[in-house]
Amino acid sequence: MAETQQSTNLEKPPPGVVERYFKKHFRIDLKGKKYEDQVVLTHSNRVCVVCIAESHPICSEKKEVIKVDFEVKGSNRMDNKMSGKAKRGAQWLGPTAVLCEVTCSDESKYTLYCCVKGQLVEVNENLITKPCLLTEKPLGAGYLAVMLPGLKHFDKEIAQLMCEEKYKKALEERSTNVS
Amino acid sequence: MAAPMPMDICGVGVGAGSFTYDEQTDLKLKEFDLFTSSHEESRQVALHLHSVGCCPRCILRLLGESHPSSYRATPQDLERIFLPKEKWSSSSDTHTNPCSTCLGILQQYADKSFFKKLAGKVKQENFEFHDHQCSLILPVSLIVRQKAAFVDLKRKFGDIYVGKEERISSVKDVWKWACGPPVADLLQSKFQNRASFDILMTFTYADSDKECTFLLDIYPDTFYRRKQRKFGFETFTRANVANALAYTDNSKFEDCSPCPPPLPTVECECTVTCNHEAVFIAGRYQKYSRVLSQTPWVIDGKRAMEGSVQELVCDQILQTFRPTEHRLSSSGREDVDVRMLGLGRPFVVELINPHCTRFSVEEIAALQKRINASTSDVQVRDLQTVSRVETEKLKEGEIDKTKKYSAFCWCERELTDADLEKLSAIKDLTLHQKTPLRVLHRRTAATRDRVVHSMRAEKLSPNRFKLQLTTQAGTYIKEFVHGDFGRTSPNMSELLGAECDITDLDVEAVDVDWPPYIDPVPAEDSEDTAKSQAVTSDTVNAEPVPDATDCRQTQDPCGVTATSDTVNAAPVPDVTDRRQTQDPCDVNTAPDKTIDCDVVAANTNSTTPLCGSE
Ligand SMILES: [Zn+2]
Repeated sequence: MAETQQSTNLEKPPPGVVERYFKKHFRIDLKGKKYEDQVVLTHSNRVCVVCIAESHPICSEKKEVIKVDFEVKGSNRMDNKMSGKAKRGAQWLGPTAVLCEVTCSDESKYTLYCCVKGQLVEVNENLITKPCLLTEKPLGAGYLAVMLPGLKHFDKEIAQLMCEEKYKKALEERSTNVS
Repeated sequence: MAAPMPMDICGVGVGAGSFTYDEQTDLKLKEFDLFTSSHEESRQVALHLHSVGCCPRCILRLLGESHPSSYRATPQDLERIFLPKEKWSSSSDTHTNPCSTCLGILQQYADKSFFKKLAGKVKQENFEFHDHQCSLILPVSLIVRQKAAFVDLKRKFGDIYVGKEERISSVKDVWKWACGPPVADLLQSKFQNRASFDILMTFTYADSDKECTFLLDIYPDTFYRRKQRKFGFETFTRANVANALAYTDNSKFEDCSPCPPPLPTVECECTVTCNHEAVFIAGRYQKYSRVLSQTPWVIDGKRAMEGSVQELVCDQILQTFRPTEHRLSSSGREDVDVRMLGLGRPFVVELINPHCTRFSVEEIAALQKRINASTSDVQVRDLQTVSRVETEKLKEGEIDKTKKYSAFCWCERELTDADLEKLSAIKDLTLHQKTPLRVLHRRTAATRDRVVHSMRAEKLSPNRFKLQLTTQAGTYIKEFVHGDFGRTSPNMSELLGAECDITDLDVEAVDVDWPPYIDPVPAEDSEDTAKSQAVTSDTVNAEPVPDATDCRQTQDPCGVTATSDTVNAAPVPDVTDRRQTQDPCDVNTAPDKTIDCDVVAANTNSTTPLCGSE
């Protein structure tokens, strides 16, 4: 029996970290800008990993990212001194707060947002030295930031995002509109 | 208020003065060691004390007797020795007033009928004990009454009592001297000054605070503030009252508090409780299930998962020792989905107020057998009773000790021999681990350095390999393999330049050399042991994906319950390593897995014979 198992499905990749531990929630056409979509990976412990969605022009148009800047409008998202388990001192940000600005090699610029209301626990500083991670591993090492919504507000905050099913429908509609 | 003093008594023997004394009392008086060697003086004091409501035992102790054996005499005997016939209580006097100095603690709480009640209460608690100690908590105002009695004696019989206050035997001591032996006889147990089984008598006296109130007037600063802080504070404690009285000279005391002490208007009450010192039982446990949390896992009052390591280890122990409470501590802990193999993880169970405690080595061995027969998910070895001091060794291993793991890994491309060599050559690799996302909600966000001392990679199939690691305690193994969004660096993906993931994790060794080994340590070296165990697990086609959690070894009490990663884990029957209780060939009869994603075999080259590992 073990032998059959071996030959049939053993080398199929196991479900990855995102599939195992997270649910995907989306915000699309952020700030009314077409196709500027982001995804929030929510863990059952209410930790939210904010990422760029693969339908975002940066990814879908396979742009080359040359700069990710967390310094926005005079406030630096990396300037986030916090302490203790309660993360005292972390910046509290709303869903439309700017997270970072992305510059591509074609000189196009995009703004990415927090997407959920909560404490900004960390930004992915690796993106500063390796901006290419953003498009290479958008739902992995290219994540943007970690947000932690308040204990009581988690469900409410997540309810304001688009579930994966609706997101897929929205993508389908986009392609029919185009064609 | 004192009775007229019969100062004229001078004669000894029959018919002296206005009172008649028993003929033989002189002989008996000689056997005591009192503050005064004069029998006349002793009789005068005794008569006075009797007149102010002192019980016979208090008369004896206020006369200065401090030999325990003297208190074996019954109150009736003592009356006959110290008091004239006219004052002897008749046998019809069943109820006497409580003594003004001991509040009856050396009277009705020191007689046969009380002993019977006491023994009955202790037996009802159903403890098994062979020796015992008695503790008494006495009303605070007893200190005031003792002082009042002394001040009165000093006033009336000055010479005898100069410098004697400290030499008067305490109510507590006299109770133990008088009552210890008969109570021990009834309990058929040895009475000791210190024993692990304690019979606690708490005496409460309704007027206690009232009788101390005068201290508020003399020492407002000392007592007033305590009075304000009512919650959790007694205004008067034994310590502060005794201390205040030590600073109060006798004439001042006399002005404020009646001397001699008045007859009590209410009686003392006594509550009896029994307590056995905690007993500690230590051992090591192995855990063969990937769906078993360490502590009972309850979400919103409902069981999220059947059983727990704690329950499987403790249930039989509790039935044997019958404690009122217990606590399991271990040298670290493993996640719900992580197995604990090798020689197991050291643990201690603290048994609070155990009702049975004396067990032979053979009986403890039998207990271990019962635990191991009760479950195949957990097995216990090296079970033994240990002292409280020894249990501290359990925690010593928490920091700066190494841990050994087997991680079953997947890589997106086929592994080459060069990859394996590269991994196996790595020594003392320092990882920078950000607090894993799965625990970030309840732990401080930080980047911590942890060292992987050594690794050995073994290819199991083109994309799968088993990684044996020795790491510093506190290393997050799962994050080291899958990278946690690049938040642990370096990680396996970076080392191999290809995406990696972990499907299963086993703890192979917790390097804590305590408790002492009792069960034979397997003759093979630990690596061979690990290998044979892994072979058994290899045959399991569908291990639940390690859905979660904390492979870090911590003592965080909410470690398992708070890590909610595992909520998605379908309860998969454990079919893994049951080599101790079940033929490993049975694994093929494992029920189908109900996990919604494709689960992954940890291992593939399962051509090794299944049976016969160990
Ligand atoms: Zn008394």
